[in-house]
Amino acid sequence: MDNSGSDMLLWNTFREGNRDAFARIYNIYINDLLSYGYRITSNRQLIKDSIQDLFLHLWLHRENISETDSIKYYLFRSLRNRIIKNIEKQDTQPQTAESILENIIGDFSVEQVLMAKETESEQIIRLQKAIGKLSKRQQEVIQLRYHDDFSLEEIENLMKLNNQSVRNLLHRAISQLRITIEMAGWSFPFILSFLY
Amino acid sequence: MFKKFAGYSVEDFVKEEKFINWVKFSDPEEDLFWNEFLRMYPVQHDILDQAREIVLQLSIASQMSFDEEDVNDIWQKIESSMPDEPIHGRPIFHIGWRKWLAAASVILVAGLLWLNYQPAKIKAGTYSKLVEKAEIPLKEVVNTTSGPVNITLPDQSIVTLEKNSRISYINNFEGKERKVFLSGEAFFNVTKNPAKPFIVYANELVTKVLGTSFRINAFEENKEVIVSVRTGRVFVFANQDFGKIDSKNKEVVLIPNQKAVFSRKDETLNRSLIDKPVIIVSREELLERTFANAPLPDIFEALEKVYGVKLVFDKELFANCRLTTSLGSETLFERLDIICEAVEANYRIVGTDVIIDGKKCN
Repeated sequence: MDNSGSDMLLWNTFREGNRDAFARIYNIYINDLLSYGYRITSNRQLIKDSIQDLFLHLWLHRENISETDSIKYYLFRSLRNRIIKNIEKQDTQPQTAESILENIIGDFSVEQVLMAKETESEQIIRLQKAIGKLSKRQQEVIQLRYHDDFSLEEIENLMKLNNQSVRNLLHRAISQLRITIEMAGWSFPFILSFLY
Repeated sequence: MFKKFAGYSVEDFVKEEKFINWVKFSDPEEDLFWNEFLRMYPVQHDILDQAREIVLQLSIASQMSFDEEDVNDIWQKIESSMPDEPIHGRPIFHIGWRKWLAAASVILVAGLLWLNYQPAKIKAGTYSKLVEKAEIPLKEVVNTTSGPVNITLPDQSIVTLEKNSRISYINNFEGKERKVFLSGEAFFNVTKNPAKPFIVYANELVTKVLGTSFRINAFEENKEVIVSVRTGRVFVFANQDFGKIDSKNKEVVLIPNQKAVFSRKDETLNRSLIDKPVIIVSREELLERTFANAPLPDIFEALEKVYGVKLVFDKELFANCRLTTSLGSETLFERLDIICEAVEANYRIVGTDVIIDGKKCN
């Protein structure tokens, strides 16, 4: 979706030191940023600190911050870098955070699903659980693609992967969702559709 | 250019960027494209429909859940670290979530900035009539974003204004009352001030509180006006001739987990339970509520306390039924579903009470 015009206006107003514009940017994107943070790590304090640092940094350095025509992309990229840096800082293992993200299988608990938005249907909850069983990277791609509406190119840059890797992750994620759902034998209309 | 999609499977469409964008963002040009495609390849109709459904479901299901408290929490920390005067010129302080529920807290301001170039249109109706009648000039906030926006009122009460909604209020809350006008839906977390009641006018309903939290749903186009209570006590009146509170005929007092529904057609005001009653005691108190092989009546009594909802049941009937359970974050009905299934009982909701029937356990 092309927001570039209004995004630029809002961003520039904030860069001029307008607090309302700054608060508005926070308001618009905080939910998606939190949600993305929790997808990357389950460390709540680390997510909160990273977001706080990010916004404070933006405010304090607003005069030196570059223009952008996608505030959302700018924020997501900054947050991801910050979270990864903070994970690395905490981590005593020789492994890098990136490689941890690569290998970890999602630890999405059932409880977390139940606590999710009250209005979600059973079908959505099942899909959430299936997504929770994907690898961390696959989960991230799925969320960036379907929830946050980033283009493949933006996802490549966010996740620092090449085009083919993103495509593969997405492809495997969708196939795996299909298998998980089929194996559970749920007979919802939308699951039948996967059989085509 | 359609040929590429002629042999597409559901899965192919789900991954196709052009298709995803069409499903998620309305664009007349894309509508034309896909309609034309379906005209040429009608066999793909069902497949396209299913793919569309999956994309929509994925967009919801792929969102990771998070704690809503974080939103305000983080902002408070950011704002308190920002140099210069905070937006409201008040010191920012940090308080825990229990106080947050009970009293005031400072959160962010919805900038009015975007109003200039994105004016929201609403029909001339109840809200505009009410606002017109106000004797003092009002300050208005409109939420034209796609999600909820938090607004701090002059008394530090917080309003979470849902999309397509607007509120007006008297600048600085001068006068004897804190008057707010609402069109649409909002959650109010009102600062306690017994000397100065907080009053919300929303379509035909007037909601009056001293300090509490509640939600009002009053879109001009809806058939009903609904007030749901989270904490505290809330007085709701029908406001038939605008501006004048008619407390004789239609008035209800609500406690947590109850709602008042005003039918605009019949002009009746009814009290009932909200759809998903939540726990009203603190997390600490909740932790103590674990039951090991406990008699069912004890569990029901605990549920009554924890949700603040009256359960009507026959103590003797259930005296021999024993269950092991703990109370978590579920809504009352989710919890009752589980219990009732275990002991083959059933329940129904009558007004603000829940009536439980069943049979004796051995």
